[in-house]
Amino acid sequence: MNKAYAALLFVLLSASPLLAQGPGGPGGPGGRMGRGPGGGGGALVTGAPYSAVEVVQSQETLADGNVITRKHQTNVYRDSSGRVRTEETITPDASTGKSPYTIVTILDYVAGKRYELNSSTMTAFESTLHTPRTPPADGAAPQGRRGGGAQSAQLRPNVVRTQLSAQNVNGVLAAGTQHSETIPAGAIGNTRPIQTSRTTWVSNDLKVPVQIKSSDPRFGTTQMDLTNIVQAEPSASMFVVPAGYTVKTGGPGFGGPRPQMRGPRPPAPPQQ
Amino acid sequence: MARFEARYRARSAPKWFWAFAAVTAMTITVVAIPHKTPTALVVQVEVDQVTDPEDSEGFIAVPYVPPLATGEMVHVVHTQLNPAELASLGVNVDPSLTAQMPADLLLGEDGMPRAVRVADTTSDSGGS
Repeated sequence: MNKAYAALLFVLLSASPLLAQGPGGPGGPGGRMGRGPGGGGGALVTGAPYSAVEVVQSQETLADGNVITRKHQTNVYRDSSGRVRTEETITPDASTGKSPYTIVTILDYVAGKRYELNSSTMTAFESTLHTPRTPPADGAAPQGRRGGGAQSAQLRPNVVRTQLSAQNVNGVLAAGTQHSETIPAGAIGNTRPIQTSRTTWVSNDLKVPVQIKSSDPRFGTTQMDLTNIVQAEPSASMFVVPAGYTVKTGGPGFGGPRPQMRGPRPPAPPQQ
Repeated sequence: MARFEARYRARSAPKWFWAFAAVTAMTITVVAIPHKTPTALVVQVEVDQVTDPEDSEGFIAVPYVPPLATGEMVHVVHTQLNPAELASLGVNVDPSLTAQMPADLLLGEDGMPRAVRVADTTSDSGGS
Protein backbone atom coordinates (compact mmCIF):
# COMPACT_ATOMS: atom_id res chain seq x y z
CA MET A 1 0.00 0.00 0.00
CA ASN A 2 1.25 3.44 -0.89
CA LYS A 3 2.58 5.17 2.20
CA ALA A 4 0.92 8.42 1.33
CA TYR A 5 -2.41 6.67 1.33
CA ALA A 6 -1.71 4.64 4.38
CA ALA A 7 -1.90 7.84 6.36
CA LEU A 8 -5.08 8.92 4.68
CA LEU A 9 -7.56 8.47 7.47
CA PHE A 10 -10.86 8.18 5.76
CA VAL A 11 -13.11 9.86 3.29
CA LEU A 12 -16.35 10.95 4.84
CA LEU A 13 -19.22 12.60 3.10
CA SER A 14 -19.51 15.24 5.68
CA ALA A 15 -18.92 18.93 5.89
CA SER A 16 -15.64 20.18 4.51
CA PRO A 17 -13.61 23.08 5.76
CA LEU A 18 -13.94 26.22 3.71
CA LEU A 19 -10.73 27.14 2.03
CA ALA A 20 -10.01 30.29 0.16
CA GLN A 21 -8.33 28.47 -2.67
CA GLY A 22 -9.85 25.70 -4.68
CA PRO A 23 -8.21 22.71 -6.29
CA GLY A 24 -6.23 24.48 -8.91
CA GLY A 25 -9.20 26.65 -9.63
CA PRO A 26 -12.02 26.24 -12.04
CA GLY A 27 -11.00 24.99 -15.37
CA GLY A 28 -8.89 22.47 -13.61
CA PRO A 29 -5.23 21.77 -13.53
CA GLY A 30 -3.50 19.94 -16.32
CA GLY A 31 -3.34 16.23 -16.70
CA ARG A 32 -4.91 13.41 -18.59
CA MET A 33 -8.36 14.22 -19.71
CA GLY A 34 -11.42 12.27 -20.57
CA ARG A 35 -14.70 13.66 -21.77
CA GLY A 36 -18.09 12.05 -21.69
CA PRO A 37 -21.77 12.62 -21.38
CA GLY A 38 -22.94 14.06 -18.10
CA GLY A 39 -25.43 12.09 -16.10
CA GLY A 40 -27.74 15.02 -15.67
CA GLY A 41 -28.13 15.89 -19.28
CA GLY A 42 -26.00 13.50 -21.28
CA ALA A 43 -28.88 12.52 -23.46
CA LEU A 44 -28.56 11.33 -27.04
CA VAL A 45 -29.64 14.04 -29.45
CA THR A 46 -30.14 13.08 -33.09
CA GLY A 47 -31.07 15.14 -36.11
CA ALA A 48 -29.45 18.31 -34.82
CA PRO A 49 -25.90 18.47 -36.16
CA TYR A 50 -23.63 21.36 -35.36
CA SER A 51 -20.09 22.48 -34.88
CA ALA A 52 -18.95 25.15 -32.46
CA VAL A 53 -16.15 26.44 -30.31
CA GLU A 54 -16.58 26.12 -26.58
CA VAL A 55 -14.78 28.84 -24.66
CA VAL A 56 -14.44 28.60 -20.89
CA GLN A 57 -13.07 31.57 -18.98
CA SER A 58 -12.46 31.39 -15.29
CA GLN A 59 -11.39 33.75 -12.60
CA GLU A 60 -10.22 32.85 -9.16
CA THR A 61 -9.32 35.26 -6.38
CA LEU A 62 -6.76 33.98 -3.92
CA ALA A 63 -6.71 34.74 -0.21
CA ASP A 64 -4.09 37.45 -0.69
CA GLY A 65 -6.18 39.22 -3.32
CA ASN A 66 -4.22 37.83 -6.24
CA VAL A 67 -6.36 36.87 -9.20
CA ILE A 68 -5.85 33.96 -11.57
CA THR A 69 -7.65 34.02 -14.89
CA ARG A 70 -7.74 31.20 -17.41
CA LYS A 71 -9.18 30.66 -20.82
CA HIS A 72 -9.73 27.27 -22.40
CA GLN A 73 -11.04 26.46 -25.81
CA THR A 74 -12.53 23.27 -27.23
CA ASN A 75 -13.82 22.53 -30.70
CA VAL A 76 -17.06 20.56 -30.61
CA TYR A 77 -18.79 18.67 -33.42
CA ARG A 78 -21.95 16.58 -33.48
CA ASP A 79 -23.46 14.78 -36.45
CA SER A 80 -27.07 13.87 -37.21
CA SER A 81 -26.78 10.47 -35.57
CA GLY A 82 -25.65 12.04 -32.31
CA ARG A 83 -21.97 11.22 -32.52
CA VAL A 84 -19.80 13.82 -30.80
CA ARG A 85 -16.21 14.87 -31.36
CA THR A 86 -14.26 17.28 -29.19
CA GLU A 87 -10.78 18.64 -29.80
CA GLU A 88 -8.67 20.17 -27.06
CA THR A 89 -5.15 21.45 -27.30
CA ILE A 90 -3.17 20.66 -24.19
CA THR A 91 -0.28 22.95 -23.41
CA PRO A 92 1.97 21.33 -20.81
CA ASP A 93 3.66 23.49 -18.22
CA ALA A 94 6.76 25.17 -19.59
CA SER A 95 8.91 23.44 -17.00
CA THR A 96 8.10 20.07 -18.55
CA GLY A 97 9.65 21.01 -21.86
CA LYS A 98 6.87 19.18 -23.67
CA SER A 99 5.21 20.52 -26.77
CA PRO A 100 1.49 21.23 -26.99
CA TYR A 101 -0.56 18.33 -28.25
CA THR A 102 -4.17 17.66 -29.14
CA ILE A 103 -6.61 15.36 -27.41
CA VAL A 104 -9.53 14.34 -29.57
CA THR A 105 -12.47 12.54 -28.02
CA ILE A 106 -15.01 10.74 -30.18
CA LEU A 107 -18.26 9.57 -28.61
CA ASP A 108 -19.68 7.16 -31.16
CA TYR A 109 -23.11 6.24 -29.86
CA VAL A 110 -23.85 4.36 -33.08
CA ALA A 111 -21.04 1.87 -32.51
CA GLY A 112 -21.17 2.15 -28.72
CA LYS A 113 -17.52 3.15 -28.59
CA ARG A 114 -15.58 5.99 -27.14
CA TYR A 115 -12.19 6.92 -28.52
CA GLU A 116 -9.56 9.20 -27.14
CA LEU A 117 -6.90 10.17 -29.64
CA ASN A 118 -3.57 11.46 -28.43
CA SER A 119 -1.69 13.23 -31.18
CA SER A 120 1.59 13.13 -29.31
CA THR A 121 1.64 9.34 -29.12
CA MET A 122 -0.60 8.62 -32.13
CA THR A 123 -2.59 6.35 -29.87
CA ALA A 124 -6.36 5.86 -29.83
CA PHE A 125 -7.78 4.50 -26.59
CA GLU A 126 -11.02 2.64 -27.18
CA SER A 127 -13.64 1.98 -24.51
CA THR A 128 -17.30 1.05 -24.32
CA LEU A 129 -19.79 3.87 -24.47
CA HIS A 130 -23.24 3.55 -23.00
CA THR A 131 -25.95 5.13 -25.10
CA PRO A 132 -27.73 7.82 -23.14
CA ARG A 133 -31.46 8.20 -23.17
CA THR A 134 -33.27 10.39 -25.63
CA PRO A 135 -34.23 13.69 -24.00
CA PRO A 136 -37.88 14.51 -23.44
CA ALA A 137 -39.59 16.69 -26.00
CA ASP A 138 -39.62 19.75 -23.76
CA GLY A 139 -35.88 19.71 -23.55
CA ALA A 140 -35.84 19.23 -19.81
CA ALA A 141 -33.25 17.01 -18.25
CA PRO A 142 -34.36 13.39 -18.01
CA GLN A 143 -35.80 12.58 -14.64
CA GLY A 144 -34.99 9.64 -12.45
CA ARG A 145 -31.95 8.52 -10.60
CA ARG A 146 -29.71 10.55 -12.86
CA GLY A 147 -32.29 13.19 -13.43
CA GLY A 148 -30.29 16.35 -13.70
CA GLY A 149 -30.17 17.21 -10.05
CA ALA A 150 -33.83 17.96 -9.52
CA GLN A 151 -34.06 15.50 -6.68
CA SER A 152 -31.00 16.84 -4.94
CA ALA A 153 -32.25 20.38 -5.23
CA GLN A 154 -35.48 19.33 -3.56
CA LEU A 155 -33.54 17.77 -0.74
CA ARG A 156 -31.63 20.93 -0.06
CA PRO A 157 -33.11 23.98 1.56
CA ASN A 158 -32.06 27.46 0.47
CA VAL A 159 -32.21 26.55 -3.23
CA VAL A 160 -33.99 28.95 -5.56
CA ARG A 161 -34.53 27.72 -9.11
CA THR A 162 -35.88 30.25 -11.59
CA GLN A 163 -36.90 29.64 -15.20
CA LEU A 164 -35.86 32.52 -17.44
CA SER A 165 -37.77 33.51 -20.55
CA ALA A 166 -36.26 32.29 -23.80
CA GLN A 167 -33.88 34.58 -25.59
CA ASN A 168 -31.18 34.57 -28.21
CA VAL A 169 -27.85 33.54 -26.73
CA ASN A 170 -24.74 33.18 -28.86
CA GLY A 171 -26.86 33.18 -31.97
CA VAL A 172 -29.44 30.56 -31.03
CA LEU A 173 -32.72 30.59 -29.16
CA ALA A 174 -32.18 29.26 -25.67
CA ALA A 175 -34.10 28.61 -22.48
CA GLY A 176 -32.55 29.81 -19.27
CA THR A 177 -32.47 28.50 -15.75
CA GLN A 178 -31.02 30.25 -12.75
CA HIS A 179 -29.99 28.20 -9.75
CA SER A 180 -29.12 30.06 -6.58
CA GLU A 181 -28.23 28.51 -3.30
CA THR A 182 -27.13 29.68 0.08
CA ILE A 183 -24.93 27.23 1.89
CA PRO A 184 -25.77 27.81 5.55
CA ALA A 185 -23.06 28.73 8.00
CA GLY A 186 -21.48 25.64 9.46
CA ALA A 187 -22.71 23.32 6.71
CA ILE A 188 -19.24 22.67 5.34
CA GLY A 189 -17.20 24.20 8.10
CA ASN A 190 -17.90 27.74 6.90
CA THR A 191 -18.28 30.46 9.50
CA ARG A 192 -20.58 32.53 7.29
CA PRO A 193 -23.18 31.60 4.66
CA ILE A 194 -21.90 31.05 1.13
CA GLN A 195 -23.88 32.27 -1.84
CA THR A 196 -23.54 30.32 -5.09
CA SER A 197 -25.27 30.83 -8.40
CA ARG A 198 -25.38 29.21 -11.82
CA THR A 199 -27.23 30.42 -14.86
CA THR A 200 -27.55 28.07 -17.80
CA TRP A 201 -28.89 28.74 -21.27
CA VAL A 202 -29.74 25.60 -23.23
CA SER A 203 -30.40 25.75 -26.95
CA ASN A 204 -33.96 24.75 -27.82
CA ASP A 205 -32.80 23.12 -31.07
CA LEU A 206 -29.43 21.66 -30.17
CA LYS A 207 -30.33 20.57 -26.62
CA VAL A 208 -26.91 21.58 -25.33
CA PRO A 209 -25.89 24.48 -23.11
CA VAL A 210 -24.74 27.50 -25.07
CA GLN A 211 -23.86 29.56 -22.03
CA ILE A 212 -23.18 28.73 -18.39
CA LYS A 213 -22.25 31.36 -15.83
CA SER A 214 -21.18 29.97 -12.48
CA SER A 215 -20.16 31.68 -9.29
CA ASP A 216 -19.01 29.79 -6.24
CA PRO A 217 -16.68 31.48 -3.75
CA ARG A 218 -15.10 28.10 -3.08
CA PHE A 219 -13.86 27.78 -6.65
CA GLY A 220 -14.21 31.15 -8.34
CA THR A 221 -16.30 32.32 -11.24
CA THR A 222 -16.54 30.81 -14.70
CA GLN A 223 -18.32 31.47 -17.92
CA MET A 224 -18.73 28.96 -20.71
CA ASP A 225 -19.86 30.13 -24.12
CA LEU A 226 -20.58 27.99 -27.12
CA THR A 227 -19.49 30.29 -29.92
CA ASN A 228 -19.26 30.13 -33.71
CA ILE A 229 -22.22 27.76 -33.81
CA VAL A 230 -22.80 26.34 -37.28
CA GLN A 231 -25.85 24.14 -37.66
CA ALA A 232 -24.62 21.90 -40.46
CA GLU A 233 -23.49 18.30 -40.86
CA PRO A 234 -19.78 17.83 -40.04
CA SER A 235 -17.68 15.51 -42.17
CA ALA A 236 -18.25 11.84 -41.37
CA SER A 237 -14.49 11.31 -41.27
CA MET A 238 -14.33 13.30 -38.04
CA PHE A 239 -16.06 10.50 -36.14
CA VAL A 240 -13.72 7.65 -36.99
CA VAL A 241 -10.19 6.92 -35.86
CA PRO A 242 -7.85 8.32 -38.51
CA ALA A 243 -5.24 6.20 -40.24
CA GLY A 244 -1.89 6.00 -38.52
CA TYR A 245 -3.26 5.66 -34.99
CA THR A 246 -2.69 2.57 -32.88
CA VAL A 247 -5.95 1.51 -31.23
CA LYS A 248 -5.66 0.28 -27.65
CA THR A 249 -8.39 -0.84 -25.32
CA GLY A 250 -9.03 1.23 -22.21
CA GLY A 251 -6.78 4.14 -21.44
CA PRO A 252 -7.15 7.43 -19.68
CA GLY A 253 -10.34 9.20 -18.80
CA PHE A 254 -13.71 7.54 -19.07
CA GLY A 255 -13.58 3.83 -19.55
CA GLY A 256 -9.98 3.62 -18.45
CA PRO A 257 -8.61 1.76 -15.46
CA ARG A 258 -10.45 2.87 -12.37
CA PRO A 259 -8.46 4.07 -9.43
CA GLN A 260 -9.61 2.81 -6.09
CA MET A 261 -11.48 5.13 -3.83
CA ARG A 262 -10.28 5.40 -0.30
CA GLY A 263 -12.69 5.39 2.53
CA PRO A 264 -16.20 4.14 3.05
CA ARG A 265 -18.94 4.50 0.50
CA PRO A 266 -21.76 6.77 1.61
CA PRO A 267 -24.96 5.21 2.85
CA ALA A 268 -27.73 4.65 0.33
CA PRO A 269 -30.26 7.44 0.07
CA PRO A 270 -33.78 6.79 1.32
CA GLN A 271 -36.27 5.54 -1.23
CA GLN A 272 -38.90 8.08 -2.12
CA MET B 1 -11.67 -25.55 42.61
CA ALA B 2 -13.49 -23.28 45.03
CA ARG B 3 -10.47 -21.02 45.15
CA PHE B 4 -10.33 -20.99 41.34
CA GLU B 5 -13.99 -20.02 41.07
CA ALA B 6 -13.65 -17.38 43.72
CA ARG B 7 -10.73 -15.86 41.88
CA TYR B 8 -12.15 -15.90 38.34
CA ARG B 9 -15.84 -15.38 39.05
CA ALA B 10 -17.29 -12.84 36.67
CA ARG B 11 -17.75 -9.62 38.47
CA SER B 12 -20.65 -7.39 37.37
CA ALA B 13 -19.89 -3.78 36.68
CA PRO B 14 -20.97 -1.26 39.27
CA LYS B 15 -24.22 0.61 38.71
CA TRP B 16 -22.46 3.90 38.12
CA PHE B 17 -20.65 2.33 35.14
CA TRP B 18 -23.90 1.40 33.39
CA ALA B 19 -25.40 4.81 34.09
CA PHE B 20 -22.36 6.51 32.60
CA ALA B 21 -22.49 4.26 29.52
CA ALA B 22 -26.15 5.02 28.96
CA VAL B 23 -25.60 8.78 29.18
CA THR B 24 -22.65 8.55 26.78
CA ALA B 25 -24.64 6.57 24.23
CA MET B 26 -27.52 9.05 24.37
CA THR B 27 -25.16 11.97 23.96
CA ILE B 28 -23.57 10.44 20.87
CA THR B 29 -26.97 9.72 19.39
CA VAL B 30 -28.25 13.24 19.91
CA VAL B 31 -25.12 15.13 18.91
CA ALA B 32 -23.53 13.08 16.16
CA ILE B 33 -26.28 11.51 14.09
CA PRO B 34 -28.36 14.59 13.20
CA HIS B 35 -25.17 16.39 12.18
CA LYS B 36 -23.80 13.77 9.81
CA THR B 37 -26.68 12.02 8.17
CA PRO B 38 -28.30 14.76 6.05
CA THR B 39 -25.03 15.74 4.42
CA ALA B 40 -24.23 12.18 3.46
CA LEU B 41 -27.64 11.67 1.89
CA VAL B 42 -27.39 14.74 -0.26
CA VAL B 43 -23.94 13.81 -1.48
CA GLN B 44 -25.00 10.31 -2.49
CA VAL B 45 -27.82 11.64 -4.60
CA GLU B 46 -25.46 14.03 -6.29
CA VAL B 47 -22.97 11.29 -7.10
CA ASP B 48 -25.61 9.37 -8.98
CA GLN B 49 -26.59 12.41 -10.94
CA VAL B 50 -23.14 13.64 -11.77
CA THR B 51 -22.24 10.96 -14.25
CA ASP B 52 -22.94 7.49 -15.49
CA PRO B 53 -22.80 4.99 -12.63
CA GLU B 54 -20.52 2.86 -14.73
CA ASP B 55 -17.95 5.61 -14.69
CA SER B 56 -18.73 7.18 -11.37
CA GLU B 57 -17.34 4.35 -9.30
CA GLY B 58 -15.32 5.81 -6.54
CA PHE B 59 -16.33 9.38 -7.18
CA ILE B 60 -17.83 11.41 -4.41
CA ALA B 61 -19.71 14.57 -5.20
CA VAL B 62 -18.60 18.00 -4.21
CA PRO B 63 -21.21 19.15 -1.70
CA TYR B 64 -23.64 21.92 -2.57
CA VAL B 65 -23.17 22.10 -6.31
CA PRO B 66 -26.05 22.81 -8.69
CA PRO B 67 -27.33 20.12 -11.06
CA LEU B 68 -25.90 19.69 -14.54
CA ALA B 69 -27.72 21.35 -17.40
CA THR B 70 -29.49 19.45 -20.15
CA GLY B 71 -26.93 18.06 -22.58
CA GLU B 72 -24.00 19.18 -20.46
CA MET B 73 -20.84 17.18 -20.91
CA VAL B 74 -18.47 16.32 -18.12
CA HIS B 75 -14.80 15.55 -18.29
CA VAL B 76 -12.26 14.00 -16.03
CA VAL B 77 -8.95 15.60 -15.21
CA HIS B 78 -6.22 13.50 -13.68
CA THR B 79 -4.24 15.65 -11.30
CA GLN B 80 -2.44 15.93 -7.98
CA LEU B 81 -4.22 17.46 -5.01
CA ASN B 82 -2.96 18.28 -1.56
CA PRO B 83 -5.07 17.57 1.53
CA ALA B 84 -6.25 21.17 1.78
CA GLU B 85 -7.49 21.06 -1.79
CA LEU B 86 -9.22 17.75 -1.17
CA ALA B 87 -10.84 19.26 1.89
CA SER B 88 -12.22 22.13 -0.14
CA LEU B 89 -13.89 19.51 -2.34
CA GLY B 90 -15.55 17.87 0.63
CA VAL B 91 -13.06 15.09 1.21
CA ASN B 92 -11.90 14.75 4.78
CA VAL B 93 -8.30 13.73 5.10
CA ASP B 94 -5.77 13.54 7.87
CA PRO B 95 -4.83 17.19 8.51
CA SER B 96 -1.28 16.15 9.30
CA LEU B 97 -0.76 15.05 5.71
CA THR B 98 1.12 17.37 3.41
CA ALA B 99 1.90 15.20 0.42
CA GLN B 100 0.00 15.62 -2.80
CA MET B 101 -2.17 12.74 -3.88
CA PRO B 102 -3.19 11.66 -7.36
CA ALA B 103 -6.87 12.31 -7.90
CA ASP B 104 -9.45 12.44 -10.65
CA LEU B 105 -11.56 15.56 -10.84
CA LEU B 106 -14.86 15.41 -12.65
CA LEU B 107 -15.65 18.83 -14.08
CA GLY B 108 -18.75 20.24 -15.64
CA GLU B 109 -18.66 22.06 -18.94
CA ASP B 110 -18.12 25.30 -17.07
CA GLY B 111 -14.98 23.87 -15.49
CA MET B 112 -16.46 23.73 -12.00
CA PRO B 113 -15.58 20.62 -9.99
CA ARG B 114 -18.45 18.17 -9.63
CA ALA B 115 -16.92 15.13 -8.04
CA VAL B 116 -13.56 13.81 -7.01
CA ARG B 117 -11.97 10.48 -6.40
CA VAL B 118 -8.62 9.84 -4.84
CA ALA B 119 -6.64 7.53 -7.06
CA ASP B 120 -4.69 4.55 -5.88
CA THR B 121 -1.46 4.46 -7.81
CA THR B 122 -0.72 1.00 -6.57
CA SER B 123 -3.80 -0.52 -8.19
CA ASP B 124 -2.34 -0.23 -11.67
CA SER B 125 0.80 -2.06 -10.74
CA GLY B 126 -1.06 -4.73 -8.94
CA GLY B 127 0.38 -3.93 -5.56
CA SER B 128 -1.75 -2.92 -2.67
